[in-house]
Amino acid sequence: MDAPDFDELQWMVQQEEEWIEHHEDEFSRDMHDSLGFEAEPSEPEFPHSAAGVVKVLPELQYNAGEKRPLSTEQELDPCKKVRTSDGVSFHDSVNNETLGKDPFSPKESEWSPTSPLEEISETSVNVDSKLPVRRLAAIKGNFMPITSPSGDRVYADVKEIEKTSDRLQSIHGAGRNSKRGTGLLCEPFEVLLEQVEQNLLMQTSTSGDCQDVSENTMTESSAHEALWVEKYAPKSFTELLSDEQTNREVLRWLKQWDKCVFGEKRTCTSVDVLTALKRHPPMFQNRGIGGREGHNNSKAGWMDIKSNSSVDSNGGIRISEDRPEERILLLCGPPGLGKTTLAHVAAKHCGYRVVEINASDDRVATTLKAKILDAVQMKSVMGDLRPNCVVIDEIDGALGGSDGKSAIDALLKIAYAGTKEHALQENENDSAFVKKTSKKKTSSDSALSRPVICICNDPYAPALRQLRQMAKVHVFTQPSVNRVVTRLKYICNSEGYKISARALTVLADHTECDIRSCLNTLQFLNKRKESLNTLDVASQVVGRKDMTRSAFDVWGEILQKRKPKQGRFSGSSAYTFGNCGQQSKELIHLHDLLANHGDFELTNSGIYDNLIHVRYQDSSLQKTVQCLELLGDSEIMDHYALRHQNFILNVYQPAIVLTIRNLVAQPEKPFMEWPKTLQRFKVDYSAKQDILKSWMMKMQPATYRNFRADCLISDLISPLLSILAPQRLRPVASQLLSQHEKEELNDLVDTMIAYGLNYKMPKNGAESFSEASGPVLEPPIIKLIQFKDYQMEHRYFSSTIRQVLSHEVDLEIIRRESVARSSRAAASTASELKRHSVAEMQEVDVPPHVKPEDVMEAAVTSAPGVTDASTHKSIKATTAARPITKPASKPTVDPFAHFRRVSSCNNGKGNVDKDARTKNALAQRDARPIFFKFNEGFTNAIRRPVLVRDLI
Amino acid sequence: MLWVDKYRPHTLDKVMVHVEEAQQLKQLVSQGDCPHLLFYGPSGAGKKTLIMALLREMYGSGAEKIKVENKPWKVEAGSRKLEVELTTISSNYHVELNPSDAGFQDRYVVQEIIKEMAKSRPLDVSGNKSFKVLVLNEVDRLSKEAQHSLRRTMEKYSSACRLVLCCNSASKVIEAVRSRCLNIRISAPSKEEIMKVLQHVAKKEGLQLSSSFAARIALASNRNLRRAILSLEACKVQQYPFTEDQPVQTTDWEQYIVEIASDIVNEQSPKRLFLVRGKLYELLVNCIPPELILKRLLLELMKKLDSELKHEVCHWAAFYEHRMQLGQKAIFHLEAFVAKFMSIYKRFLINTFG
Repeated sequence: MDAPDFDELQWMVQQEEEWIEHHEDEFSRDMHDSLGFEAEPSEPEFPHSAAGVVKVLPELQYNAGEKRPLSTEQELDPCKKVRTSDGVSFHDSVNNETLGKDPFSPKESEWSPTSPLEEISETSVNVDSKLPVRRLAAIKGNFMPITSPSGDRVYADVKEIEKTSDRLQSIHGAGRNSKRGTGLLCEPFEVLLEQVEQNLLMQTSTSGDCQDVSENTMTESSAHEALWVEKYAPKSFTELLSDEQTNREVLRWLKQWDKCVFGEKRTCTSVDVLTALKRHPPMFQNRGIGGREGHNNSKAGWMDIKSNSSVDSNGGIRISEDRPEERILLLCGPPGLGKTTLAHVAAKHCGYRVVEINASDDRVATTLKAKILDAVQMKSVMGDLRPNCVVIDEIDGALGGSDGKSAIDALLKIAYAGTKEHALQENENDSAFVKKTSKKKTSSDSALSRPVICICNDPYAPALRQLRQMAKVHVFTQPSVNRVVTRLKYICNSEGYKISARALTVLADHTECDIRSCLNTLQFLNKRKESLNTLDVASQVVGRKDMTRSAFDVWGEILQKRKPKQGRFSGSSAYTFGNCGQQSKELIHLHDLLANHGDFELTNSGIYDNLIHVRYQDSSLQKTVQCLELLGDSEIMDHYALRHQNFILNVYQPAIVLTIRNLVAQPEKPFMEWPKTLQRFKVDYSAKQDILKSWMMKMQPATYRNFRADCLISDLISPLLSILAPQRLRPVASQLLSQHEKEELNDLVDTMIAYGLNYKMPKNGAESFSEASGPVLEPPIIKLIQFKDYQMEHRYFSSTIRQVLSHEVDLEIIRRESVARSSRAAASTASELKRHSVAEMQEVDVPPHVKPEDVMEAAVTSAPGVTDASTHKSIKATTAARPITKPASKPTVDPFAHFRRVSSCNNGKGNVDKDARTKNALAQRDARPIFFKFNEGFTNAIRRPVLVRDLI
Repeated sequence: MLWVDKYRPHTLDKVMVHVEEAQQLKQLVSQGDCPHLLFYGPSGAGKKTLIMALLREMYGSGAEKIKVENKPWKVEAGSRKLEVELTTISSNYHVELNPSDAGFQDRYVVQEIIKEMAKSRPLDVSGNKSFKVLVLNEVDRLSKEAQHSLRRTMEKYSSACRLVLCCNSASKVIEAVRSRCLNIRISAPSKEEIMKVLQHVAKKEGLQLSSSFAARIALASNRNLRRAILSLEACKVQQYPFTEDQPVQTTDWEQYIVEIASDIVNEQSPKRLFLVRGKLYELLVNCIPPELILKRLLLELMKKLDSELKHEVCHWAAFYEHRMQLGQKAIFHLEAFVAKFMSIYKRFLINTFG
């Protein structure tokens, strides 16, 4: 051991002071690292075994460098540490204090250790900068004299570092300290060596394992009153309280991912690791739970190692097709049965890092998608190399509403994307690492490569419907009371809380085996230094869980009388309620059940629908009457509450239901079905309302105003249907009818139009209501008087008459329209002509309005003129009439004739006049060239021969 | 065109029933001013006819040129925006609407739409009337809130607008609204009046209608004039010339209720009750008002009942009808009535026949 150079020391002091200012945190970390191995070679008892020390050292260094490991237990030794800025090394002081009797120690205390280690040791000590003092008086308590090479004598304050310093605690593998306290140096070297090996193992297995760390801290911080729920949360697979079957199923599902996630088939663990594990089981027993658990834990560790190695060896995540059929696991069940715990434990067991997304996170579709993709496609760069396993907790709660649905959709899309595509998988291997840039691209087509576990309370939440179909669903059932009690008992014992098994049983019963609430209750009582007696459970001391049951459960409870069940209410009822305790207890239970369920409307309609299936003794129907009356009461109250926003009235709703129960409940299980009648009624009702509305809108205004909707239904429809089907109408073409019959037909058509009815061909043909297929009344008002089991007496026309009628109605409608249109057109042309003729009047002496009026008349008469059936004709007539009115408005041809006649009549007008007029006319003609359009077919317009010369 | 529409009197002079009321209305109009009016009376008594004739009296034949519009109204209710779809019948002088169509949003119809309509004066200044008329149908179906909002509107805009309210039962219109209107009760026409009208129609149509047959139709119509004329026409279509034993057609739903009544009387058991429930649902589905069902059912049951039970059954019918008004799900109360009847009837049978 060389003595350090004085200059070197000086320099170091300076350096350190600077460092302290800037890098204090780094230092502290460094210190821990270095401490880890620094202590090893400084074993003063075995200076001769330097070779062994050297052998160990590199490994440790490797560890420290590679992974910023948890430091070994040595630093946690409850030893005293010297804080100086001087060159006194840490381990020296340790030796000085603890091994004071050692003959070598005085010498070593004065000098730093071996030079190769010096630098690190120096830096490590100087965490707390406190310069040594020159005078002894300045130091209170323990001190240490130090002599520098120059001969100066200084005194250093010796301080004890608290064991539970936070920083240390957070990083160190706590919990291993207690046992090690003083033992380190008392053990033979071989043991130490083994321990070093173990440490190595531990570090690889738990490196960066946040779960482990937090676990450990939890155990350690019992002094700070961790919640028992967390403290005693199952940490290994066998500790789980949920039933074996579910556990195994979940585990198997997770295991199915192995090939996909870890790539190659796992080989057996290497022999040396196994033997190492076997050699040191006690190391894992520090939780004091027993060998079994320790074994399990080590198993978990073994998995972890493997997962690491496989990932490392592959250099990437291999995606294969070996994933379970259902990509998502859905765990559901009432709260407090350990769903989340199971998910975590199982994931850990299989070597996954759990990425939890719970209700506290923002979970709209986009963020959820991003999060899942992140978790699924990436892995942690820092430390933890285990693959991720996504646990989406409370998926039913915060995901409600339309947002939830889209979020679920996104989830499913991710999960089942790329199930058909194999080609893209090569790319994915890379993309998992280069994700940031290529995420957009891969997100759409990459297949899910990591397990996703969803957890919910109510699997039948509407938002989960799709998920339920696609995922593997596991429903948790209540664990047996015995199991819960055993566990509770164990926890109470380890906490030193005395409680009788009986009380625990009552508690478990009361909370319906919700272990979380049991533990919380127990802890609460423990804190208050109270003991739990059976009375407490029933009284208010123990909070009762808000249980919501499905509607079916509620109806079942109401309509089925339970046999008095031992144990369930036997607890305290005798104390409180005397003889009738059992009953009133049950009543209270039911009341709570109803009140918690909340949806009284649903409850009521369920009871209403299922009442008929209950076989109760009721000869004079008294009970039925009462039940219906009660339901009516409830309904009135509900309506009132809604109407007046006075929901406090709902407090009384359970009482009504309980009364009904009292009246009708029977011991045997009634047949139950979901109340559909009311729902169906609503659907049908609104369908018929729609028919009614559409009918009313089709009516003509004059008819419409005379009827209200309910008058139509109650008064009009039936007579109308009779009126629309007169007996005497012969099924012949309308031309063959007599005058009287024609009038009747016209009346009928008129009525049908007024009421907006017509016979139309049914769209799919299946809906024909009468004997023969054919046109049916549209809108289908016939449906408004159709009742089940009721034979209508209305006569229907044969399909021929219906066809004739349909035709007639169509015709009449067109006729009326065309009349209206032509009268409008006539009105407009008339006004136009008027303007024209006035203009002409100013130009021409003789007004040319004679002809236009003729044409107009023709147009008007032509429309009604074609009364004979065919629509084509009437349309053509109107179209034919139009082109004629147009040229007529320009007096090109006729004015000449007129003019000739006029001019011949009164020749008194001069030639000049005539010339001017012809000129005028020619100019007009040139200005508006004539287009001749020949329409093929028949026209009613006036025809006369025209010479082409006249036209041009 | 149906006779109901064809022979509807268009002027106040031509009305055949409620002549007195018509004359009073005419007098009212002739004085130039008119208060708000509330017409009430059973269905088929002639309220609408009188209102239309009144409008014609006020504005001449221009009031008969009407158009039907069905459009959504945008209403701002507090912070949110509602869209209420409403059908209106309007002429140049009046607007007719049915605010209860808006359901639970009727309040907004009254508060916003009616107010908006009432605010604006009629454009036509040449007309001698300086106000326009708003006809509100089925006021008794309006919620209380809507009726309360109506009363201030009635006062505030009375200079530009007159309200004509029309309803079946005045008791469902709040006192405040009733006191702001001139209430005109349109009673159901008596059997004789109906017969007179039927004879009048028959004469116009050139039909031979014996008074006994007319009496039968009038009786079957249950003092509902519209029903009477419709069944006259239906009878005529069925068979003419009329014979004395010709059946007068009833409506289908009434037939169905007859069936239900016989079902009830034939057997009293929960099973039968279940059957009846299904049939009642059928009626309700077909948009038949539950009050009408209950009333009809009672009448049908009465026919088959021993006289000593009638009083009790009537009492219960009234009881459940009242509860029906309070509640929302009519089926509960209808069925409760049926069950009650069964119970009473069964007890009676056991007591009487052992």
